[in-house]
Amino acid sequence: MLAAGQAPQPKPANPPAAPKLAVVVLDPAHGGSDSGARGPAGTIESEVVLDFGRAIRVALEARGFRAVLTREGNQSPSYDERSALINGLSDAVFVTLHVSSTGPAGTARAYYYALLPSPSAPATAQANPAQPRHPSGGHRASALIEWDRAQEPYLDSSRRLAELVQIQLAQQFRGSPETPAAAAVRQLRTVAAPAIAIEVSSVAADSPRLTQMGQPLGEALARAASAFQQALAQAASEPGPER
Amino acid sequence: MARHWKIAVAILGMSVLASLLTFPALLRTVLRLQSSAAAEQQARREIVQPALSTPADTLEKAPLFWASASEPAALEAHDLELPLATDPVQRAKQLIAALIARPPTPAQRTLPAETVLLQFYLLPDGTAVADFSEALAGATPSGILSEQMAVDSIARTLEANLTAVHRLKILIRGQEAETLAGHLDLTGFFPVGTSQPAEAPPAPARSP
Repeated sequence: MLAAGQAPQPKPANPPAAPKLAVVVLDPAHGGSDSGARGPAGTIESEVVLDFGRAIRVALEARGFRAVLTREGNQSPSYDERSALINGLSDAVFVTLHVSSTGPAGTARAYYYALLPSPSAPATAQANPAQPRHPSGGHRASALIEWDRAQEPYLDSSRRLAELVQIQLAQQFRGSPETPAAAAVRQLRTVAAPAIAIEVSSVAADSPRLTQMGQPLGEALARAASAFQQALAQAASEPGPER
Repeated sequence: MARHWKIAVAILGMSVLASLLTFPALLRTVLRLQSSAAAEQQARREIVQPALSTPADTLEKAPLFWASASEPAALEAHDLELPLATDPVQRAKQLIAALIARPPTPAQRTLPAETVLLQFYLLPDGTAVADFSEALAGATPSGILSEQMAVDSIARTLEANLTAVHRLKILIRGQEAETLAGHLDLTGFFPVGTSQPAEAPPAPARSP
């Protein structure tokens, strides 16, 4: 029974499930008739990134993560098919793998999505999504995802993941930048999970040299995934702002 | 030697002689064609793209952004003296044409040489729409870095020389393209007039 003047207290909502990281979806970009960048010595991006994906999967599985590749051979899934693979999973992050045409050879850089203003938004106002967020940086479980802007609620966590990955890349590959960069990478836009792109420089190097980068790339990503997992656990254990 | 062999040798000899006589002329023609390839490309550009200068243009030093010669993966400004219009649309066309045609060195180029700016529009809200030929999508080196640098060089050049432009939309032959060369998303608008052209906006405040 309530005392006079005492307002009924709303029943506390079930807190969102604590985010964790169990699955890493690796996306070797291009494939099929789209071979991506081609080097002067015949290096083909779509083949090199598939090798990277396989090497990274081994390193991730050794650390207890489940790794899923968006393609296992020379198939060419669409952007949306690749996104659909992770959007159907929980506790997962997405890493799309690329090799550049240019840039200092033997270096690697992580990118997180740079949100472009919505076509309908006025030019003077940048898009500023005010959706409630999941502790991982995502949306509440009940919120609907607008497919074309699925990455929007995850920008913070994607940036954090990119930072952690870049720290490792800078250690593994001398000359790599210290910080990740923001870029409007198309593949990332429709991913409803923390998502980054890694671009290795470049197809100007010969194929065997690039392929050798797969193992250290896997090490870097596996360490960063562990660090991200810890960061998620820490964020979940800290009392966050009321939602 | 049989008579038919003599005839064959004579014909062969005459053929060799004729080849020797015509070879220098052929060589000159080939060299002339090679040297005129650049001129043809320029002529083609002039046909597709109308003259950009107007009598009212004034010579100005304008900063244009190309790939840095010293710092990989970065852009740097080069001051170029250009005849520029006061009309922002005409001015933007002149700047982009110079960006395509006059990189300091070939290695610093950010936009393919064969790219043509087909049209440029500026809407009252500061939205610039730049419509490029297919060469922009087809000849830009594939990759996140190279595509980002191509777009940033346009955005930063516009930013440095035009106050009326707040965001940039890139079209390819009048159509919205999904990506520039397989990586960079062209379905949205690129901010112009910010220090970090493609930076994500700050995280929104959590709802109370």
